[in-house]
Amino acid sequence: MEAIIQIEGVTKTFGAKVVAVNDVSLSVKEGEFVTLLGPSGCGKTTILRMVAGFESPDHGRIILGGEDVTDIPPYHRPLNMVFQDFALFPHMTIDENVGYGLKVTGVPQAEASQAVDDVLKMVELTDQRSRRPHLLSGGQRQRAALARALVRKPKVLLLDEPLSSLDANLRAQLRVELKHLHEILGLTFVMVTHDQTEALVMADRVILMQDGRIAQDGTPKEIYEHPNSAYVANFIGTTNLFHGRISAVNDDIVTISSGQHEVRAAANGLGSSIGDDVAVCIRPEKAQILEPGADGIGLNVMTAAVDELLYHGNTIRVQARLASGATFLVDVPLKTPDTQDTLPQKGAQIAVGFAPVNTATFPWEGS
Amino acid sequence: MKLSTRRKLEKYGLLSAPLLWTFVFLFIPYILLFTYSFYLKNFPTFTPAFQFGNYAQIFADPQYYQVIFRSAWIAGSVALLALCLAYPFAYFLVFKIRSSRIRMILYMAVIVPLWVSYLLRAYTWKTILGNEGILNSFLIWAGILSEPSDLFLYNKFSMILTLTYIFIPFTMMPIYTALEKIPRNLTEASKDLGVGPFKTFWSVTLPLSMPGVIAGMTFTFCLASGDFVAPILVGGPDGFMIANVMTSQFGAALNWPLGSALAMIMLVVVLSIISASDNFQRAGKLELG
Repeated sequence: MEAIIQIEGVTKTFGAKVVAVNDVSLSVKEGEFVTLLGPSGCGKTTILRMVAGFESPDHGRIILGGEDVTDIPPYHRPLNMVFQDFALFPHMTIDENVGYGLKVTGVPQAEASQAVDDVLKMVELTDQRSRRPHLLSGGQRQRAALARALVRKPKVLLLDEPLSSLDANLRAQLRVELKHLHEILGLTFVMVTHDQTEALVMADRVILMQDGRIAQDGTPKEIYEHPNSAYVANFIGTTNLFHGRISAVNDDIVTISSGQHEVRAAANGLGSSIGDDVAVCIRPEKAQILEPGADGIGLNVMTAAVDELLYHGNTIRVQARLASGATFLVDVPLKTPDTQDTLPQKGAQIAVGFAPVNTATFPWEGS
Repeated sequence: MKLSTRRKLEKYGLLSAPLLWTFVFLFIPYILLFTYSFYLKNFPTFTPAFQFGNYAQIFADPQYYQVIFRSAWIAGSVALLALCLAYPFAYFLVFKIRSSRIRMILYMAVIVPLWVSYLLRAYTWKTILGNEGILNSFLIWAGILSEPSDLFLYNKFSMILTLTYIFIPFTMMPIYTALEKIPRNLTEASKDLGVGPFKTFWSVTLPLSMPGVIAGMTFTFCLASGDFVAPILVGGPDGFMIANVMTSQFGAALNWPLGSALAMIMLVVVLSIISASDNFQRAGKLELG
């Protein structure tokens, strides 16, 4: 498939010192659902605003559907945006809000009202159409904003934290609705979010940003299972990290000496060699507590003391301390109501284990 | 004592001083003025009565109703001119100046003249526009005029100019506030929907700033229509306004009943304008964001 958005070496600085986006290049294929993920200040919103045309890059080019739009104002770009606080016009009804762009840009009346009818039907807001935005609930406003952005049939839909002002339940529901909408319309969606769950659940591809640069670009699964840095591993989900040097390489398994622990880990095709400074990441749900006396063949086994048991409802997180003093987390699924009773108590000595195939290894870049 | 009773007492206790002040210095004078407006003039005093002769005289005598119209005309022009100057300036400050420091400095530049004596500010224009004033000297120096012109002073033009200068901060402040309150992403949303800057201003920014426009124009109109210093300093016979007529009725003419009737009419006019603008604002009041 063809790239619909191409960002080439884009840099954006605010004021004298703040580099919001630092030489970023990326491309988005037609029909893809891409999320730009990262903490506040990582540059994700600035990228979106540059694609929309509200900011212009200091360096680099932005190409939309083969056309260089770097110097084209937002009102001439073939895309639409759903704003963070929806940005519905308070002095217009929902109908007028949705039809606004069509009316002002001179689309014939009949055609415009047909388009408004269709899009309102699609987001199920037909019965609210003559009301002003402040009378609508958060979810309805969100759908109205979506309708307004879709009514002009844009090539690309930009979404700036579209769910962040909604409460948790509604957010979960709208995630699914947005995902469905993307599938039905086949449009290209680019969404900015700081919520990792949102990014993982909704997107085909996640671009994780750090300090104005792309930290990792991949499918949700790649990002979660194979983080390429400690930053990514820590940002997405929770992780246990072992930092050390490679002491042995054996096919696709590397052995790492991390203080007093020897950890065997997946080599990740890094082409690592002995002496490399690396980190190994193991997710808490992929580690396990070994039964007393179990041999744990093929696993990395370590002894630890239970510090804390954190009840999460569906799992219980065991926070344990390794001999080295580092904290190690293990998530134990609570499949039956009794699972909890069989768990070790606070202070108990346990053995934790994890398989090398479940780990991810990446070069250590300090800190 | 019950807590709710105590709260009530506290509330009225706190309000008592301002209430007393309002009652003694505003409410009672208005009642006196209202009563006087029905009295009979009996030079050099007046006798209590209840008759509408004073009001009838105002509506019958062109000398009076014309001055009311002229005051309204001048105040209306002042409000309009002030709007035409203040709106672009406020817009420029809010949307075009990025540094909040410079914005504050420019904003203060408009507000600071309010700290200077009102009389002085009106008088300044006399020295600018007068026969031997700065404007005439400049035009002669520049060779545009050969001798001083007295076209600049003592007419409606000088009145409107001076009053606009004096009251423009009252137009600017509410417009500035209204513009500042408009979320920036609304204009962005408009542009995102394919609407250019001019139409965006026309269909988003302007409607959303209307409450400020109405408030600013109302302030300026009411303040300008009751002014009596500018007419004396720069107005001349052509710029005589309602407040000057009232002053003379209470002073030289010694006709308090007629002066009171004029005052009551102006009070009604101003109150209706304020309440109309209030209604208008409330109807257009919008929940932003």
